[in-house]
Formats: sequence, C-alpha cells, structure tokens
Amino acid sequence: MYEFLKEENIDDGILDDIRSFSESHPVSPGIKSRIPHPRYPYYGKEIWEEAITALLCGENLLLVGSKATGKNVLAENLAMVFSRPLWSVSFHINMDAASLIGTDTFEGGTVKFRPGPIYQCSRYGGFGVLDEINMAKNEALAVMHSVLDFRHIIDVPGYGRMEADSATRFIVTMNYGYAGTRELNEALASRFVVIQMPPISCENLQKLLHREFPTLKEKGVQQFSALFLDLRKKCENAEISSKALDLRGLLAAVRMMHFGLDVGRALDMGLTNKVFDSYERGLVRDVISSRVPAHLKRNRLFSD
Amino acid sequence: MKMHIQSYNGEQRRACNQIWTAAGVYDFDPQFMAFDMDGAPDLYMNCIVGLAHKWYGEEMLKTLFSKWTGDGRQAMFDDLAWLSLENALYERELPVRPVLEELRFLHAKEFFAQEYRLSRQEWMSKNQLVYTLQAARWQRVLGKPPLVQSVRAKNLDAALALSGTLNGPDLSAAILRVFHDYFHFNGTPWVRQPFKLHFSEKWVPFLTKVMPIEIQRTDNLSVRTLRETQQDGRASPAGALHAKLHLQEEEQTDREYIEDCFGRSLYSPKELNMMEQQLCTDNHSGCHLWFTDGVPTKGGCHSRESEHLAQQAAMQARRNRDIYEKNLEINRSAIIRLAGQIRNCMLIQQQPEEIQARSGRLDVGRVWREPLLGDSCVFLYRDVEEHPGFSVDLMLDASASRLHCQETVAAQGYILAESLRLCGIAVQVTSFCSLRGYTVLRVLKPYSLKHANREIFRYFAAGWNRDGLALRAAGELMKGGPKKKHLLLLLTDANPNDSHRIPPGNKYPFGRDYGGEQGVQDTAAEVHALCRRDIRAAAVFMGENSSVPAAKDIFGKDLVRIRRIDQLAAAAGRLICTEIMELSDD
Repeated sequence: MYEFLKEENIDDGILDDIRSFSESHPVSPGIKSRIPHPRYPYYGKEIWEEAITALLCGENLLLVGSKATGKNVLAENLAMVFSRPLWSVSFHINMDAASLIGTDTFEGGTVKFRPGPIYQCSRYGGFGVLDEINMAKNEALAVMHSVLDFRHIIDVPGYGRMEADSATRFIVTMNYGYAGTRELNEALASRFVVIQMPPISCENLQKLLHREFPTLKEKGVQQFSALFLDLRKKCENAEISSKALDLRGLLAAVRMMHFGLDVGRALDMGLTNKVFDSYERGLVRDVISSRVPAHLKRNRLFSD
Repeated sequence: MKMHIQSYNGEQRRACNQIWTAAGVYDFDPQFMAFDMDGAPDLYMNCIVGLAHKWYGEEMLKTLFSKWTGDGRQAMFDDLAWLSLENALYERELPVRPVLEELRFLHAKEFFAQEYRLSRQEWMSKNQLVYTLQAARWQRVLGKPPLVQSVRAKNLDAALALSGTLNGPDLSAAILRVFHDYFHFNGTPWVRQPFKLHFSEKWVPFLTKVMPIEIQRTDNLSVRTLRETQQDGRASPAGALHAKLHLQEEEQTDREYIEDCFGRSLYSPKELNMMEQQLCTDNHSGCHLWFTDGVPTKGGCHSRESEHLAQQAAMQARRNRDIYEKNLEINRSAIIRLAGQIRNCMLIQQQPEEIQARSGRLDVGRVWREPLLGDSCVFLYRDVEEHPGFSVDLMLDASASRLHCQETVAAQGYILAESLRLCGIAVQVTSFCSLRGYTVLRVLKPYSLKHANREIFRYFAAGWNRDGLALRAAGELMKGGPKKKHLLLLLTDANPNDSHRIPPGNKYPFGRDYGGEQGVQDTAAEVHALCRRDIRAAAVFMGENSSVPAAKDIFGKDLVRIRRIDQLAAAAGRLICTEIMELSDD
C-alpha cells in the first residue's frame, strides 16, 4: 500500500509518520483478521493527504459526498494503510444507542452485557467506519459524543466506564441531501473534521480501469470512463435516479466482458437493470448506446 | 426533425435526454429533436443535435436557423442544414466517440428500411431534392454504389459534405454560401403573403353560418349580481324591493346554472344555507358556496348553455384521460419516484414502538418471568410501523387561467394522489373556481374512495378564483378528514380574482374589486386562519414574476415555485416531505 501512496505522490514524511503510528500501536493477534484488504484503491492525492494528516492528529473524519465518490473505499484504504482493525456499521433509521454500544442479554440465568461495535472498536484501538451516519436519529448518536471528543470514554450504565484506546478513530460517511437522510446536529458535527469528497475525476477513473483491467484497450478505458461521467451528469440533473450510477456495477460489467459476455448484456447486468423503472431504464440504455456499441466483442476491447 | 416544443411527453423527454447527453449540458431546451417514422426518438440524429450544441453553441444554431425562418423553403433549408451539420459533426466527434460510426451506419440502414413503410401521402409530402441528397449520403455510409444523380444534385451533395475542421462561424458561412449558390438565398427570408379578405360587419351573420369558424374560450363566464346600495351599505327601501325581486329570480337561475354545470350539492339546501351564513361573511358577504362531487342532478340540464358546458366538461375529461394514457410510461415513472421520495421521508420521521423480545433493552418489570416461568421475552425491542398521522388535501385552481394546461393539471393531480395512495396517506383532491358569485368546490376524489384517483381526470377549468373563500370553505371540507392533522396543498397563481366585488364597508362605501392587493390580503388572512385551526397550508406557485411577492405574502416559506405545470407533482412532493418533518415535530 505504501508503494501505491508513493505512486500517488504522497509526501514521504507523511508515510514515515504512518509507519511510526502503526509500530507504536500494535494490533492484538486475535483481531488482526479485521485489518481490511480493500478491493479497490482510492485515487486522489489531496484527499489522501488531508485524511492521513487528520487521523495522525487524532481527529475523527466525516466524509461527505454523493454516491460513487469513494467514501467507503477511502475509509477502508485508511484502515489498511494504518494497519488498524476495522469495525463497520451501516446506519439505518432505527439505529439506537444499544446497537452501537451494546445490549443486555441472558447468559446462564444472568443478565450480561453484549458489547456493540463502537465499544469493541474503542477497546481494541480500531477504526470505526460509520456508514451513512445521517440516516440515524441524532438522539441515538448522542451516546457517542464522549468517545468522539477529548474524553475518549464510553460509559455504559450499570457496567462502568471504559477508556478508549488512543489509536481509536472514527471515520463516518454521509451523503447530504440523499433521500431519507436528516441534518447532522452541530454537537455531533463539531466532533469531526470534514472532508468534502469530490466525484471521481475522469483521469482517476481511467487510472482505476487501467489498474483493474490491464489488458483493456485505451479506447475502451476512455469510453467506459466517459460513459460513467455521462451517467453522473444525467443523475446530477435529476433526469435519472442514482441507481444506475454505480461504479462497482461498471467494473463488474467490464469484468464480465473480459470473461466474454457481450458489452450490451454485461452493461445491462451491471448498470441498466439496477433501475427498475422501465422509462428510466430506457434513458440509461440511450446513454450507454451513445458511448459503446452493444454488440462489441471481447477481442475489440481487450488485448489478451 | 421537429422544431422546439414547450412541454414534453415521454418520447420528447427521451429525445431531449439523448440531446443533452451528447451536448454534455442540460441547461437548454433543444430547438430541434429527431424522431423516426414510428415516433420513437432517433438516437443518432439527436446525438448530432446535441453535438451541435457542444461544438458550436446554442447561439450559433439559433442565428443560423433564424436566417430562413418564415421563408417558404424553410423546411428544405432546415433539412439541408442538418445534413451538412451531420457530416461536419460526425467527423469532428468521431475520434472521441467511436460509437458514432456504428450509430451512423444503423441510422443509414434505418433510412432505407423506412422507405417500405411510407404511405403514398408521406412520399408525396417529401421534398424530392432533400430525399435524393439524404439517400446519397446514407448510401455512401452503407458503402453502396452511389445512386444516379443529376450534375446539380451531385455538386450540391459534395458541397453539403462540410468538413469537421470548420469552426462555428465558418460552418455557418459555408452553409449560407451553399444556399446562396444553389437556391439564390440571400440571407433574407422570402415570405409568401397569405391571401386575406376583409368583410364588413353586415356580412358577419351570413359568413359565420356558411364558413368554418373558430370559437375562442374566454374567462368571462361570470355574471355580476347587481345590487343597489346606499353609502352605509344598506339597500334603499325602494331599491331594496326591486333588488330583492330581481335577486331572487336571478339567484334561482344562477343556482340552477351552477348545479347543472358542476353537479348536485353535497349538502342539503338547509345545511348549505347554514354554511353560507357562517362562511360568507366579511369580504365574502353576499357570495355563495357550492360543494359538489360532480354527480349530475336528476332531471338533466335546465338550459342550453349549461348543457353545452356539461358536454365540454365530459369532453375535457376524455382528453385528460387520453393525454395521461399517451404519456403513461413517463407518468408511471413519476409516480414511482414520488412515492419513493414520500415513503422515504415518512420512514425517517416515524416513531418506533417497543415490543417484547428475547434481546434488546431489559424490561425490569418483566424480568421475574425468566426464572419463574422460563419466559425469556424480558427485553424490549424497538419496532417501527408505517402509520402516516396526517391527511392531505390537494386543491387545484380551476379558474380560466388554467385553460391552457387542463390536461397537465389533471395528470399531475393524479400522479400526486396516486403516489400518496401508495404511501398509505389519505388524500382528497378538490378543484375550485368561482362563477356567478358562487365559489364552487368540486371534490374530484374524496378521502373515502381510496381507489378513485382516476376521477381526478374530471378536472376542467372555467371562471374566476376567489381564493380566500375557497380556502375558508376547504377548512369545512377537511372536517370530514380521517386524520386529526391536515396538510392543505394549493396549486395557485397567487392572483385571486373574482367578478363578485367585496361588499361596501365603512372604509370603502362603494365596495372594492376582489383582486389585486385586496385579494392577496384576503387570501393571506384565510391561510393564517387555517393555520390557527392546525391545518398546514402550503402552495405550489405557478404564475408571473410580478405575482411572486403576493405568493410570498400569502404562504410565506411554505411555497414552491414551478415554471412548468409538469413539475407540479415533484414540487408538491417536496412540500409534503417538508411538512411531514414539521408535522412529526409538532
């Protein structure tokens, strides 16, 4: 991963700091399996530098960005770079304090505390990735205030207080204005430093395609990245929903093309069919048709 | 290639999207769209239109095509200009969009495939020269030998194959040069003057009988009720007697007219009278109310005029339904999106319920059950169910100012009501207008009939709009609502206007017109009165820029402005989401 960061022109000083952080906070062997190995790297020098610096300074991160900006990819990449075990929580509207900190349960006739992901993460000095935090009610999140600020503690009523490991960091993601989301209150927002995640640039998208599919011809790389940007523009202008704006779906489609599936069918499976409204599906199909011929064969796309 | 269209149906919207995709920008309404013989959008030519915007800009296209607007040969010039633009844009875009090669090939194949589907009339309507030049172009694209052409056509064909290296102004100049060389077009449209005859008034009765005529509907359906009043507002004894006789006769006629046009009253005469006494006060003194569900009265129409209006209403309902069906796909899509948006908003605002479970938060009051009864359900689990705690009233302005967009208002009303039904929210849709001093509230879809949304297609527009009284009366209608909390959504142009004047008072001894500032003040007061009764009123505003301050005065922040009527449902959806959040905080 350090090699990748070097390729991204991240400052050597920063890389040294990451190394010394990891060395001074060893991970218990039992939870080493929680250190992630992300499928995709995150591209974007400025964002990398901002995020690493914030984490080294002991701050928690709030990554704000729309769909397909790589919020979770970056969070996982950071955990890997810092060699930290990762606890990931996907927030939903019914999330409450108990599901974060822990719940009571019966074991052998007695009530026992079953620790939740935030408790575990704080105990072992991990990175907690809290996905779509603004889906949850602010009241449910209030329980996290003490672990997120300078106090670094979790107080569980009836079970005592636990001091969080000094390596603990929380990286939360949110998609502002996404359907079904609410405003983050100031008390919570003040406990994070915020990074506005830019949409993936054409250049970075091409880098990603090159890395994932080294045999994909240059023309293919250009057209698939342009296709994704066309879809994004259509989505930004509210002509289609964000369902078809799916970078993972695009990569999966190209992977299927590499295996020999027709371009049209692969893109249908990876992008178009994720839209269940037939009219919108027509619009998505038009965007695809104006970029990539449906019956293009594998040998015209890949050099191997 | 079709010229600019103001509001889009499903296929037109799709064509626009093809153009916007190729252009890479979405901030313009395309001047041209391309469709094939079956009316489906032509992807390749729409791409070309979009690319023209991308490479040469909207201004260049507008200026170029405006050169021959109005010319007798405009259609031919349009087609030839696009033929030359096609070549230039294809050459220019191909290196960055290789798919164009295949799209162009398919377009050429389709051009010749369509030949067999053309009727004789369609063949005759084609310009022979344009067709020859198009055929030559597409023949070349398919790699087939050239068709036999005249020397002039061959030269013109070559001249129209403009290079992709030309910039906008050079391309414009080249096209104009070709038109000059081959058609003597000097840059000024040659307009053929239409043949006109003017007849004096004495010929009018005869000519309107023997010649076809066009009837223009106006909003002047309201008849003022004459009242002789003294300066203090009381009628003079002599005048009062005359007025009373006159009034009773006229009121009976008006009532029958209203009943014939809009349908029977929902209330008995006694109930209606009591409601009028209660509601038709202050600024609305002397006005009447009519609540109806549109069901015609037994015994049929009383006058030819009302019979004609009833027929027109039935025709309009058919038109509303037909237009909706025509754009079924795009309308269904709008319903799905809107329902999703509202459902999502409800989901995050709903309150969880705590139920007994085997894990969760310990319920100390039940913990004894585990050791004594072996019942491990001693925890509380938070569960959430959908219980929308409010109902929605959609009021559609049905005054004559909506005459031009009745079908769209009906379709948008249906989309909104159907989306709310899918979310389990009770909705009532009412249209309102004023005629002959009656403010008519026509309940198109009541709360009680959950699956009667198609009744909204009975919407039609006529007369004036006395918004203040309509809102006051809407408050009465909502009393029968299934929920305690109400949200009233009003489609308005914030321009209340009624032929029935505000009666004389101390300050205004001669009364005032119901319109302008008085109308706005009165409507604003009624909105505030509704708020005091725990009814939240919000508006979707579609009107002139000059009415924006009035709309803000009336509805404050509970206002969304739309520019096109087809944005109504989406705007109402946004308002509903905001109101859902605020209602749940109450």
